[in-house]
Amino acid sequence: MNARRLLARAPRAGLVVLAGVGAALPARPGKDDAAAFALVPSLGPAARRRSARARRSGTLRYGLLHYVTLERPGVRYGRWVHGPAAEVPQAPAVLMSFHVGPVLAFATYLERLGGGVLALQQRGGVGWDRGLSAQERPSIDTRDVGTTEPARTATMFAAAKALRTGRCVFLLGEAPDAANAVTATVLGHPFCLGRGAFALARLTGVPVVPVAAGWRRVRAGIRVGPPVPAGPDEEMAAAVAAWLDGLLREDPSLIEDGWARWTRLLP
Amino acid sequence: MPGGSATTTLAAVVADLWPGRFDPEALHPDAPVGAGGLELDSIEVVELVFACEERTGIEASEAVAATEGLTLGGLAVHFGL
Repeated sequence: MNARRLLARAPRAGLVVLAGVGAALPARPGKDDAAAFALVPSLGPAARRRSARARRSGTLRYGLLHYVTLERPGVRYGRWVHGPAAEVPQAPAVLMSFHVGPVLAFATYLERLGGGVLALQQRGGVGWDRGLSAQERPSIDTRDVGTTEPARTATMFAAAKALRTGRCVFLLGEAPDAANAVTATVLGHPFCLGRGAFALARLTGVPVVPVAAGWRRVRAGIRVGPPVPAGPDEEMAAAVAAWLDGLLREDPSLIEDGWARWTRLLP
Repeated sequence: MPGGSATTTLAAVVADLWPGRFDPEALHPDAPVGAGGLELDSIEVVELVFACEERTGIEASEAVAATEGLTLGGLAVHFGL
């Protein structure tokens, strides 16, 4: 790239950086941390400081990452930050993720996993697929869950077929409403999980593997939990929730706005 | 519309999957598998289609599973029952 092109791009790049910093810095006054830490009173002062510091510096990068991704779809995460560690679960499996931590990191993770994963999206539901399109990330096989019963059935059928042919299915675990959900416990509070993931696991005999986005020092990363064998909904939900509970007790600042989302779903 | 044997076969599949859940009278060829009929949810419809696949060895397409107003008779036709 010659100097003239670099100069031509500089103002745009500067605006993108400023927008990212502007979004990330003032949005973390510590109130969110305090609310999250209140849920885990056993956490010591040093662990609280470490957790809050990691999130603030991580969020700054996340803010930058977010804007760069939206503004410059051709730029991959990996060129800017350390992407999620490609911990690849044994396929086939239902990868159940949660709305905690830097969820946008899932896009990178799924891209690294390649064609072995079918990712289910809910329009307007969560953030991991923001700015994501087939053109931007052609290697991620995504599918909208749909809002009508035939559309949902088609998606479930495709997901079950994917599992039967040895692929993984990635989805968000939190239930969109409490009506058709399994209630488990996280941090001593009720936590609603959709039945679809467990039904898929039972139908195909594959395990559910919980995954969550988090920070590795100041970098976004993915934590992969132990496989939960297919079984009754309540047992699977309890095992998944126990893993998430442990993760959040270790670093409660991962909750961010997720807790408000969950508490709205209380039965 | 498939005849009585098809209905009997499908009724047996349904009874195997969900013992005692449905009145045998409700398992007629015109009965929708979803709303207004057996009231199966999306994953249960997939389960039923998979059971039919296993029984017949015929693979179903996604379009079949997602047919709006899919009936037991429609499934019977697809699987050649």
